[in-house]
Amino acid sequence: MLNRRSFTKVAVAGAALSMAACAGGKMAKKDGKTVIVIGGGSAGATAAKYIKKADKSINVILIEKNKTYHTCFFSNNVIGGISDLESIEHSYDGLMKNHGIDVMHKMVSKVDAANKMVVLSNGDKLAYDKVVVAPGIDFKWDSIPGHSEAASKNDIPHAYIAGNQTQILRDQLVNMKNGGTVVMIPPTNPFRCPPGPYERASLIAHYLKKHKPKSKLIILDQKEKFSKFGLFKQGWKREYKNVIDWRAKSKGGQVKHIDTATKTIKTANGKTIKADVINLIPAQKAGKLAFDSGLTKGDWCPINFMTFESTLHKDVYVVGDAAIAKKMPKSGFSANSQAKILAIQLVKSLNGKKTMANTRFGNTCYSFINPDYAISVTAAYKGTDKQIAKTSGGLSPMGANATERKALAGTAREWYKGITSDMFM
Amino acid sequence: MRVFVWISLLMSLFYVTSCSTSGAGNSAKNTAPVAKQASYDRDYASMLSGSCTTCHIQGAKNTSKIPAIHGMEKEILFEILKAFKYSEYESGTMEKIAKTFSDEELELMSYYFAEQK
Ligand SMILES: Cc1cc2nc3c(=O)[nH]c(=O)nc-3n(C[C@H](O)[C@H](O)[C@H](O)COP(=O)(O)OP(=O)(O)OC[C@H]3O[C@@H](n4cnc5c(N)ncnc54)[C@H](O)[C@@H]3O)c2cc1C
Repeated sequence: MLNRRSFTKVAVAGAALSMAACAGGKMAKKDGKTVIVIGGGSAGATAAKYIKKADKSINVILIEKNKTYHTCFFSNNVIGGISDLESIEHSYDGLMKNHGIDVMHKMVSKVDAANKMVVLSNGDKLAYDKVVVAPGIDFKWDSIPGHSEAASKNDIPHAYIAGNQTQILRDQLVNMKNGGTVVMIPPTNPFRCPPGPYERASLIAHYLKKHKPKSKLIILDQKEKFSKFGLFKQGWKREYKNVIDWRAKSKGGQVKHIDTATKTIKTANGKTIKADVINLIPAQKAGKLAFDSGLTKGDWCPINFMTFESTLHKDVYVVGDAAIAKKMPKSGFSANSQAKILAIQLVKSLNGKKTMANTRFGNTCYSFINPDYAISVTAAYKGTDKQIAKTSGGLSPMGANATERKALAGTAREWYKGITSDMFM
Repeated sequence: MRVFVWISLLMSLFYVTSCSTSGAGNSAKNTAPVAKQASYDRDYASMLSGSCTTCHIQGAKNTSKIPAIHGMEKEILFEILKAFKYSEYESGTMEKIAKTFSDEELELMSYYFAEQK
């Protein structure tokens, strides 16, 4: 195993392919243009790959703090015990080997747009011609009174950035007694993966029904409605009538306070609920890097809807969950779709060409009610000056029969192979 | 449901033609689009194809529920896409996606994927 110091050297040596040696903390550029992509998630991994595919002469450096990536998509399957954490873990080897991208596992402190430098947490600076910022989300820890970042670490997992957090929630469910109470607290809008909490509720209920049938799951929602509402409610009525108890914000859902030590929740309508396991998903905002780099307006990053260039800084692009890509939902599919358009536009602009005036996007979110029962929402989008407008789409049918629902579950699993291959292979 | 019958028919046609080794049987089909194919807007087609490649993997096995479209014969893919677009059955994913594109755009994508082996 490499120690931290020698790893730094290796990383710098890797980057030296595209950069000259480090001089006084600053790296001088070699021939060829340099694009740095920060964040190796759905948006960043895709952007790095497609920028390199569009123009092999560009030095593409992907900076990601973690050695491997755990997809949030299909992490609910891990929580429900249908698959394990390893099944959602992906390496960056394909991007390096198949595409010649320099992958550096480093923490970025900020983008210094005025000097066109990426500043790493160790103080090193990397010069860029263009930079893509794709840090995903961060949480508003104070969105529920009594909650804190510290409490989320081990006691009250959010499991909304996959990996360690996913396993903590899974383990808590496994260790819970039969007859226990699980409470889920979904966030206010907007947040990543609008159907995510409800798919999770379904798969937790699937686990409870099978292994801990005396247990129940109470969802204290901070909203009145949610994505694929009719389809989820129909699925829950069919499959989890005695397990899931969903409460809208105005009907007992609103949480007034949480005591994280005793796992006691007080609701706005005066009820006290004692839980055995709590999955509190806090309200969300753009990843910290976006704030530290001056790329935000409110909670998210404003962008040009045609190119994904920040409206606040030139040559800085923001994509994925952190960006305001209205009307696309914050999803892995959206992030991947956006990143492919961004790659085309960025490379055109870098090479002094006119950017495309017509752009198209797609998104499908599949959700499992159980491993043999899936529902979906699909839409196509078109870039315009004011938004990324929806052009067509719809839900999977309420009238789908068991065979069709099972077929859709199979398609969802194939989709997972597709998107992860598009991101990493 | 009718669109599915139509699409499976087209798909099987694709697999038959793509498996045949003697070029003779297909030549009539293949020659017609070639001239046009050389001059199509590849750049625009590549942009459009981004909506497809999230799910359809290059080099995927055809046993998948999400079939391989890279390297598919242009005319067949074009017919399939139009069948989705004009289908009254809107329950699947492809019906919803295909509706957003003009026939010309569907044809451009068909050219593009035919080239991708
Ligand atoms: C439970 C759940 C289920 C979901 N299911 C689906 C689904 O079925 N379909 C779907 O399409 N989407 C789904 N999503 C949504 C999807 O996961 C996100 O929308 C998607 O990951 C967003 O991509 P991103 O690249 O913007 O962010 P991320 O994928 O989060 O990637 C951000 C990356 O940036 C890195 N990073 C951040 N800051 C720094 C820094 N300062 N320095 C270096 N690296 C940094 C992070 O480590 C991370 O790897 C789901 C989400 C959840 C939580």
